[in-house]
Amino acid sequence: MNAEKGCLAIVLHAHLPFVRHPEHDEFLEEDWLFEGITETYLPLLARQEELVREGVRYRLTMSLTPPLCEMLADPLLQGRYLRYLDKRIDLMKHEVEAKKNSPFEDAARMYRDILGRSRELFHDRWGDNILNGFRELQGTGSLEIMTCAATHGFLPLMLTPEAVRAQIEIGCRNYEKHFGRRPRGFWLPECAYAPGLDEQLARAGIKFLIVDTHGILLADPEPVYGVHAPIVCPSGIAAFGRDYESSKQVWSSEEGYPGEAVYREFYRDLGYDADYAYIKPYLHADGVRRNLGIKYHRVTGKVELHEKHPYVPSWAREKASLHADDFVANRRRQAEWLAGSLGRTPVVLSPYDAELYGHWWFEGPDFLADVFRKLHYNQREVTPVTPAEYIERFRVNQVATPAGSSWGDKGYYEVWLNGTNDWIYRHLHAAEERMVALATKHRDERDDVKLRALKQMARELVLAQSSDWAFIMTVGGARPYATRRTNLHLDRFRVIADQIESGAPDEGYLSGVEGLDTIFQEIDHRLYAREA
Amino acid sequence: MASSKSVKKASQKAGTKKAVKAPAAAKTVKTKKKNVGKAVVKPSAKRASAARGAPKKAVSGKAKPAAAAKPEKAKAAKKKAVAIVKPAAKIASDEKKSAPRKIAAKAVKKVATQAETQKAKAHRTKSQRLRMQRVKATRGKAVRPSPASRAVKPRKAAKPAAKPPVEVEKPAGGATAAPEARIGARRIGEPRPELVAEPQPYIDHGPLLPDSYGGNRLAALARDPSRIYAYWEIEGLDKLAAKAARWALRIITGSGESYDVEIDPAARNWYMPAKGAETYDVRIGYFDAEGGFHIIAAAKRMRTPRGHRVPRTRAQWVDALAAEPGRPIPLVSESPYAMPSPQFRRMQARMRRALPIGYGITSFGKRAKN
Repeated sequence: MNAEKGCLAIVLHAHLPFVRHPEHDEFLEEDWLFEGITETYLPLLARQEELVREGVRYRLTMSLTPPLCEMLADPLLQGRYLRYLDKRIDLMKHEVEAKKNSPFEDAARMYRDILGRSRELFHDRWGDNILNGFRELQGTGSLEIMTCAATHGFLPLMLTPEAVRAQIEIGCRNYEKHFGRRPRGFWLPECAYAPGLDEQLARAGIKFLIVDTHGILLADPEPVYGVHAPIVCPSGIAAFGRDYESSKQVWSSEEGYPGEAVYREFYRDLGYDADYAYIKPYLHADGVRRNLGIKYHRVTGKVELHEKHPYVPSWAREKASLHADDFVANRRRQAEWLAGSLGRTPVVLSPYDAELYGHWWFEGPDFLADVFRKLHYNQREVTPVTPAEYIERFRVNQVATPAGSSWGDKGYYEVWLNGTNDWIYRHLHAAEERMVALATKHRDERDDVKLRALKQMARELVLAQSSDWAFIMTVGGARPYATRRTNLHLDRFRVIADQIESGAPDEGYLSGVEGLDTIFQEIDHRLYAREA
Repeated sequence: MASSKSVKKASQKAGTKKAVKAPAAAKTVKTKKKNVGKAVVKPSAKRASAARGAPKKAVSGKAKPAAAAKPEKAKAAKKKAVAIVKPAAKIASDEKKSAPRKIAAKAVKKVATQAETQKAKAHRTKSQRLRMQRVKATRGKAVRPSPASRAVKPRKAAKPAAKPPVEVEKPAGGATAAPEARIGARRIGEPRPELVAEPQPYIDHGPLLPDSYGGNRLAALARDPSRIYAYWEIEGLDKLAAKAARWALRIITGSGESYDVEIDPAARNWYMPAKGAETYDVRIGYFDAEGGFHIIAAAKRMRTPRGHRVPRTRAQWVDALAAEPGRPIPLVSESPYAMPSPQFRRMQARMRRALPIGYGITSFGKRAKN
């Protein structure tokens, strides 16, 4: 330990909006979750288990957001995931035959094995609920799980303090439900911070949060150690800042690792390549060609999609290991330089979207596991830590308030507030105010139906507040769906609110909506009540 | 990789836009009027230009769909697709029956050669023709009742019209998509017939929200250090119009500045320039003929993000673990660490100038700019 020059905290933010449509037998957007499980969450879980088995000392911090946890723990979606998986497994049986003696043979076998293994892990090992796996890993002390706002609501753009408080507290209570204790870390949705949020988080018992680089560098007063030490807000919460260098190495689509030629190409998918009649049984019932997650080509270089070369799994695996070497070497150099110039043991905190690992960058989970192996076996300068551990070891830190910021394009709130999505705020704010008024009025409501109605209103409000909808409206991809979800939840909210105000909730309607939007069964509408 | 990603992104984007367009056109008479002259041609031209235009956004400039990579395979698929959908003989007989085909063909001439038109005819499915007739029929009905379109109405247009394309309570995403309602969105003259048989996703934007929530309201939100977004609702705007000479947002900053931003109250929202790390009180109101300002609504006080550095002051230190919620944290008399070197400070200054980084976020189906 004497040789330690610095600490490295890798943070993965795992989040998906709540997408659950029991009213349909299958639903396109539910595939986000299924792809996430196969490509990101299960591989991350499996690689960590490997590390534990090998006796590698590693530290990883992950935020598993409440909607993601609620989906992973939902029996309907678990059943649908198994069905999805079985369909893919069936497809790969045909594919392995079809690709025999072709340059795609190895890749086809790889997918068959991955899918088979996924089924084993998901069903046999974790009883259809992979949260069991994450909970167990957290118990080893190697993984620290953070929570997040209830539905990843964009906190700085909310109108009432009650709505912010409810988003925070619903998130914390949901964490308790799934992980059996209060959370220590809170992932600010979209890293979006505005001064004052830390006070609300401190009241919820949160110990640390993460902001983007400029949130720390432009903090008040200017932090002496930049992003290489946390600052402590006057409310007592420690704020860590994102390290620029390590972010760029992985994030950048130009210079970053994922752009490497031998890695798997994301956009060339069997769903579009295969003969239509052959692939149709594996598509959704509407028969529209979509990604199936079976991708046989490598990035190759800056060429057209049809010019991509076949993917060779062994080459990619080797490259991931080399990139892990490079990442570790760079962190060692960084730690050495910082140790000499900083005056204290620096922390380098590298947050990434978890879905980058596996879903976008297929080899990401292997890379990550290799990074931890190499940190463990090959060197002593860089110690992997969780943010909470760093504070425990280096308790004294500078007082400062982070600057308002986010990790979106341009660094502030524009991704979530621009011409494509600004129309949502007048509706969201009106709903917030109505929720606060009704929750305050019915603080001690005893009527069972009215209580259910108030809780469902709260569910509809938080679902509408999900920052994903505004994000998708900006970047595209599933714009109609995002618009529809915003409209739908606000409409259901309005209908139930009208019914409560008229004094007679329609139980039939209420039951219908309760069956659709099942998130947060534990929700408490009184979180929205104005403090007396 | 970057190139391939953006290429595909661009083509996906084009697809989405086009898909969204269709229901929008059906929504308002205004839109219909706008498009009527171009009738069937416009979407076709749009599609063509979208296909050409999309790759321009991309780095390398030549997007080719994956299927185009294998012309042989594509040909086979095309044969199969046509065979599945309809035998050629049936197509021919259907064509005879449908009166509006002539008009459609005329329109097609504007964008495609005669040969292409013939090719398109051959590959058109029954549902495509139905859709074309419907589009023509409704357009004719709304704005330009021509004899040809009138003739169509009673015959075929009635059938698809019975199926509303958007059901409020039905989620989007393709689960219950009515494929034939979308097939027609494929363009005439489309030289990739294997796509003709494949349906498009079903689009539904959900229920309509209220236009207003009653009363006078104004809210202001910070977009970034240099912009504020404000939205408002004013009750009885028409009645006030008689009294109001002009409307404005009155802005009072925390540092005591006060100024008005003239607005059109009917716009209902506005972006205004701002300064970083400043508090703002925004009000909306109107000037009467004598120049008196009447406030209609006031927004909650808000603050913009800083966006610039704060001059360094003497640092204060605390024990992070000594903090208790609701109590001021006790300060530690001095820092146990050494101070950073000048090189480190210079590096920090360089980094501050490069900020913010804006390395984005990913989401399923889309990776944010980075």
